[in-house]
Amino acid sequence: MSKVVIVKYPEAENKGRFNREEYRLMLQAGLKQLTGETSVYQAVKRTVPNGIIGMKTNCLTGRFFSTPPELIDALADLLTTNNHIKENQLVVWERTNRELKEAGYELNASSFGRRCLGTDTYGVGYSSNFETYGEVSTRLSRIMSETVDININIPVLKDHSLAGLSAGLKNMYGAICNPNKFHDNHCTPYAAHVSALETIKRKNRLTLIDAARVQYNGGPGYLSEYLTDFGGIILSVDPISADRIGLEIIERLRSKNNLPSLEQAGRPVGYLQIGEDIGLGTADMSKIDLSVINVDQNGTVHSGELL
Amino acid sequence: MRRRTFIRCLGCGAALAVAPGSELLPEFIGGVQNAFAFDYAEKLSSVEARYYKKIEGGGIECELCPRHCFITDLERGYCGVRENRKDTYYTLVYG
Repeated sequence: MSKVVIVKYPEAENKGRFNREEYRLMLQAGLKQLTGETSVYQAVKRTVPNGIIGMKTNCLTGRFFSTPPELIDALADLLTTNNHIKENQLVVWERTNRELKEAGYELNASSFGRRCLGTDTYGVGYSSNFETYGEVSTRLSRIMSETVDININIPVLKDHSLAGLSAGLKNMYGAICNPNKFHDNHCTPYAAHVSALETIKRKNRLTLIDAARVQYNGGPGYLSEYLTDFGGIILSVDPISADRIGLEIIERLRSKNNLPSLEQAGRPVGYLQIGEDIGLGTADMSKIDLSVINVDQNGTVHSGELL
Repeated sequence: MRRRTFIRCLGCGAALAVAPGSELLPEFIGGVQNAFAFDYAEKLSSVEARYYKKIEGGGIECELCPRHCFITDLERGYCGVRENRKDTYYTLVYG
C-alpha cells in the first residue's frame, strides 16, 4: 500500500493562504503521520537524507497561484533545525529567475544562505548529456542533474487544459529543456516517462503538494473564478499516489461545481496509470492508504475529511 | 561581465580594502556572486507574433509551421521561441 497524507488546518484565519507557522505545524504533523515516527527529527531524517536538497517549485503563474514562499520557509525551518542541514544546502528552484521573482522569492545564487535560482541563471543551464526513457529524450536542468543530491517536488494543485491534471508529475516538466515537445495526447505517456528518467526517479524523494487553494478548471494559467480554498497540503513518497489523490480532489471539486469530469471534458489523465505500469508508484485508489488529518494551533492532530 | 557589474565590484572591493575582517564580508561575497549570476539574465523580447489565431474558449493556434501547435496560457509551442500570455502570442527572439 502506498501512503498519502493530507493535512488540513481548519482553524486558520485564511485557509487559502497559510502563514509560515501554520505550514510548519502541518508539515510536522504530516511527516510524522507519513513515516509513523513520533519525533519530527526522525521523521525528517527518514524522509529527507542529508545532502544538497532541491525544492522544485511551480511558479508558472507568478504572484497569483504559485508555490508559496511561506511553505518553503516552513520546510526549510524543519530541515535546518536539529538536522545538521545547513541553510546553503537548500536550493529552491524553477525554470526561470523571472518566475521565481514574480512569485515573491528572493533570488540567491551565492555561497551564503538558502539558494534560490532558476535554470536560466548564468553558469547553470541544461546538462549536455541526454537522458532517455520511453518516449522522452531530453536534457535536464543542471540544478537537478548536478547540483542537488535529492529533490523535494513542491507543486500546486490545478487543472490543466491539455494534461487534465497539473501536480507533481507535471511539475517535472520544469526540469527538462524541451517540455513543449511532450504535451501531445494529454501528456500521456510523457508525464510519466519524464518522472521515470533515471536522475529524476532517483533524486525525487518527497512530493509535497500545496493544496491551500486548488484551481479545478481553466489551468494551467490563473483563473480566479475556479480557484477555491481546500486548506491543506498533500504529502507522499510515492509520486503517482500523490498525484492520484490530487486528481481525486480536482474531480470532486469539479463535480461539486457542476462541471463534467476531466474524462468527459476530453482531458483524461492517462499518464498516472502509465506511471503505475512502469513501476513509478500506485495509481489504484484501492491500494492507496490515505490519511486525512486536521491539526490545530497546538499541533494536536485530529482525524479529518477529504472534502 | 557587464560594465555595471565591473564597476560595482570595483566599488565593493575598495570598501572591503578599507575594512578588512568586516562582518559584512559574507554579504559582500554573496552580493558579488549574485551580481555575476543574475546580471547576465537574458532579455527575451515581447513583440507580438504573427501567424497565429485565437481559439474560442481560450488558447491560441500557432500557424507559423505545419505543426500548428495549440498553446494554452503561459506555455510555448514545440519550437519554444513563441509564448502565449493571456491569449496573445509573443515571439521571444525578435531582433
